[in-house]
Amino acid sequence: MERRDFLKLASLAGLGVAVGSLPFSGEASAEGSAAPYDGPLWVMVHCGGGWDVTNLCDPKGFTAATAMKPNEQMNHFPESAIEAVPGSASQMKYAPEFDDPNQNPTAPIATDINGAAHNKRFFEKYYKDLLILNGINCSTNSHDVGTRVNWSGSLVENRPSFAALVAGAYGKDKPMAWVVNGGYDVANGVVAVTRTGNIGAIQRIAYPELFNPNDLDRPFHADEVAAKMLETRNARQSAMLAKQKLPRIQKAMGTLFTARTGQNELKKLKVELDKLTAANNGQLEGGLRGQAQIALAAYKAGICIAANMSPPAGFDTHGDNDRQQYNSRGVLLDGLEFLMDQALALGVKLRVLVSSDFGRTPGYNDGNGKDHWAITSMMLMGDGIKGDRVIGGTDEGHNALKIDPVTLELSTSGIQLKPGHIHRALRKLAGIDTNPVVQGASIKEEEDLPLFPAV
Amino acid sequence: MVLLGSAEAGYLDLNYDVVKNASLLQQDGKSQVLVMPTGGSPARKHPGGVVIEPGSEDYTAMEELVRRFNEPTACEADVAGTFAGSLLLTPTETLRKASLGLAARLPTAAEEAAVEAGGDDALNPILDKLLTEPAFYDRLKEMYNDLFLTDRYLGGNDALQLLDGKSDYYDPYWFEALNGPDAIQKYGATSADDLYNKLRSWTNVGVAREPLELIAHVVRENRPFTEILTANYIMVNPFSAKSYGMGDADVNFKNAADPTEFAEGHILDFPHAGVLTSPMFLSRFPTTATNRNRARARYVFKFFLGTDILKTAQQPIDPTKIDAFNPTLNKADCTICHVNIDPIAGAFQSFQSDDQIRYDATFQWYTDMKPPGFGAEEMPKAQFSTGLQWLGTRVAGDSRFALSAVYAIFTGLTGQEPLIAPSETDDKDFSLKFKAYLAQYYAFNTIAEQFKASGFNLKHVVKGIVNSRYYRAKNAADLTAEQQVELSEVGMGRLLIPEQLNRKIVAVLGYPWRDYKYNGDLLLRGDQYRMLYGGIDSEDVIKRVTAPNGIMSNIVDRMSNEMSCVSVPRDFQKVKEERRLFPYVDASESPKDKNGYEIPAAVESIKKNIQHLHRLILGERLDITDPEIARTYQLFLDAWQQGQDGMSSSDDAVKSRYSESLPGECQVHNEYWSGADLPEGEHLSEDPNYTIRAWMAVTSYLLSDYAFVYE
Repeated sequence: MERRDFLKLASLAGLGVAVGSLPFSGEASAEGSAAPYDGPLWVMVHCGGGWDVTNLCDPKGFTAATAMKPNEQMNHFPESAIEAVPGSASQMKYAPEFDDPNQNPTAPIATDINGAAHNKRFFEKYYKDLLILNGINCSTNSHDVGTRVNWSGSLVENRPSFAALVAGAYGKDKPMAWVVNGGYDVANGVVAVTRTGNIGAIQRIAYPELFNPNDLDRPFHADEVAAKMLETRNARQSAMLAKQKLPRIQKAMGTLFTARTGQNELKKLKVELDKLTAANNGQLEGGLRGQAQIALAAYKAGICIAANMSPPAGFDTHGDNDRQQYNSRGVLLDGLEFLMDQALALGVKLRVLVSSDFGRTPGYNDGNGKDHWAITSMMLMGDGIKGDRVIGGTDEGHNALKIDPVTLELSTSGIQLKPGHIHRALRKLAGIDTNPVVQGASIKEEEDLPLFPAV
Repeated sequence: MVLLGSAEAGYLDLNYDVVKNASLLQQDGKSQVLVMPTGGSPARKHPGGVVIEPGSEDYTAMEELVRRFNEPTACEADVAGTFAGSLLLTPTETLRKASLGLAARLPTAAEEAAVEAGGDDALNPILDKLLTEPAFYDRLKEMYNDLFLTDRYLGGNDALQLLDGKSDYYDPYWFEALNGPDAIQKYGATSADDLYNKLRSWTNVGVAREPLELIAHVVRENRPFTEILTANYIMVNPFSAKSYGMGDADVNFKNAADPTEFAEGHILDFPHAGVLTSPMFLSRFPTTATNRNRARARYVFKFFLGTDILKTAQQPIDPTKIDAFNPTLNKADCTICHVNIDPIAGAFQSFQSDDQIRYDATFQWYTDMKPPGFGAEEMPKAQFSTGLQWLGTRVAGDSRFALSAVYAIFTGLTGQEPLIAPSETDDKDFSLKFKAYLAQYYAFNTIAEQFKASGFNLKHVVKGIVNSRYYRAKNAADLTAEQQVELSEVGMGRLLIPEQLNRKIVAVLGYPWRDYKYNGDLLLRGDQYRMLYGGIDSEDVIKRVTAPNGIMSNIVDRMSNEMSCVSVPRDFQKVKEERRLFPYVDASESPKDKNGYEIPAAVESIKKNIQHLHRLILGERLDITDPEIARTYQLFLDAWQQGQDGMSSSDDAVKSRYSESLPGECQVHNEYWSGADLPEGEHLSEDPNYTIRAWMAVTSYLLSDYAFVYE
């Protein structure tokens, strides 16, 4: 079914519930959505469990007062070991890393799979692209709620992720508008959630009408017959929808019919995946890298607007914090680097947001772990995001400092930076702040912070 | 006076009791709830001062509240009105949905006849029968695995390694010593390696499936469902029994070589408390030295008390204000959860973090937490070593336990989460949404009460949900805007999960969806379509996708094409009397003769068969004159005509696409299940009339329909 036909059908059926969020304003438009999507690919990277930003982008070391009190130390490295990025105008800092951080803070800097310390390699390579927001108060230490507020901007249940909003606004009918590999995946009807899998299966799925996806000449049904089948199915869908009055069933029908509007576009995915994996015998890379490949291929096919990526949920470090965070961070930063490099090579416009459930408590518990802490950070980079900036901050005990809502400088008379502020600004950056998709997804915070000035 | 939020099962009733009890307390001859908000009495001032002025509108409302508590009147909530206008499945339609959903089969002709004659009264006895069939227990285990996620350990030796070294009695790899010819023969293996793999797999499945088998066992035996928390045994199969150190004489198996048989067993010196002490449950929800079993307590609330305790931590907290010593014990922001969680965590004290599942009766519980207990009741110290038995009895006796079972079955059968009470009072639809919530609240409470009255027989919950509007509402009259809000979450419209769709394909067509006959079902295989079709792996992906995306809709299309290719020619290959899909037509029956004139008898047969297919595949009982029959007939006719034109085309390119043979993949040369070659005369390779392919088009069309992939 063509998208235009479906919209007409949905309209005739009074299908406000199912398609009420289709885009008609802002940067997004109904007509624009029918064409392959060529705006930025939005990637949400979620560090499940609650990351320790004090040994990443909001570094804290132990002080003279806590030098002899390991459990009260913010981290088992001295303040003096905190690294500054050479050449950074914003004096961006990152946490040092040690081979045996729990035992010997003066040991050499650890090396990761790429032969360098995770943080050093990442920050020194990308500081010009990086916007770091520190001292974000997400007002909760519950995993579910923290994940929700950081990715939706609201503590209220069932609020759609920002990724869902932007995908819903720009390509609700795209077959892979929002590719999800973990993280916060609540769409609340705004757009369909798409998971990915092995390439062979995807290829067969891309060509459901062929016995073999590599043999275009052998369809199950002759082309003319297949066209009649489709025509009949569309007519029946219209008739069923017109007769149905229960909103829940209308919505269910609408979702299926919408999902079918972009069926043929999946074929483009096969082409892009074939290109992307040609050097690797047609196989995807593993873990976060593979997630990046699928998202990039789907974007190149013009059928993907947003993607969730998530490293294994190894950030909930109630025990052995430093080692576990180090390992998880290694996977995270390697995946980010791969994503950025691949996007650059493919000419993909990318906007990447990295966040987590919340932060981790100042100091260590008896298991050398850190528990839940409502103060966190967000890292952003990519097209249209001015880099080499650090906004917000925390004191030596990782308590959030206030910022001036106009200048964004630290200010004791300012406001606390909340996820809601960031999402207000993100919606503006994405051009969806007045789009119907955000109706019913209000944000409590009212201040508009100039987080994303024109680049 | 602390009121509960809607995250707590049955919170309205619980809050009612709290307010009522408070209102009955008197101060100076007046209800406390009138005295305190107005500043208190001379003897007891209200610390918060005057909150409500006497004589104000709020005060008058409070007076009325107190009056009603003092002079109660029977007043049924008008929730029936919420459902006004909704149209239910007929009893026969409900029978089909329930048969497929609960027993993975279509109703028999006798069952259909009984329900057609007897209506809803005849439906319930058949539901009782469906709930005794093996397929129902598979479905039940599936539903509870969506909660427990213990199928994570089904593969390889994933479950066995969890037992390794966790008790002097355990011997998870008992089978490694077996490799002689006697054992090979006894277990039907072909070699020593085959024997090892079989025994490992059977043992691992026995260990991994133990908590879900307990659920099935309790329900199958019609025991009180509370036993899932109080069972003083563990479910074992003949192979996992040995892993737990049980001897042949310790468990009564009917067939000690049958890995699918589960029976009650006892681990030596182990205080069983059903699921709570299940090694798999404890492993799936592990603890750490600092978490101190709190996560496990959270899941006790979620699974068995219908309460998402984390939602009580949903209100904004200010970490800078949490400066008290031991805040989880002393700071209100923290104690709001921990006052409930920590006592239950204490009940798990004999299962600690280092080994997760090792039973250690000597562990000294922490003194800087709320003492072990449940709610306001503290656990006697003498019970500490058997704390989960103590806890299991209390949770099973809590009024929220029944609701938690209703929630689990409701979600399992409908795919919907229970409604959440609306929280935004400035929402213009707030009262309509609350009314919808209230309707479901009362519906669930009624089912929970019936459940309790039945002695906690879970089958009553299943029947309660099946008979509810949430399962049966299929349409509605024209709805007002208000009714649309009230009914927004009522009714069918569940996208079948991969496991359900897989079973439905087999039940309707008689063949599974596989790439090769001997491979597993495509919708169940993790490396094929299970995850892509929104399923879970119980490990990393634990939430089902409930709305289809582009990939999922293409999977439906591929399924419909592949299954019509498998099932249509095979059905025509059989004699008419044995056919499932085409009992009214033959492949030789064309709708028109060679001169293009309609053949009335053939058209009648074709339409009758189309009517049959709508009923078989979609569950639609249509009159022969129904427009949908006409629509499907037109598709058949168009496809057939296209075939005629193509086969007789003078254009070789066109003609090559309209062969007189069926595609090779769809031809029939052997018996499907055995693979045995058919006699040449029984092969079906040709389709000279193009009728088989026209029927394949019709079958594909119906299999890809909304009504096939949704229930």
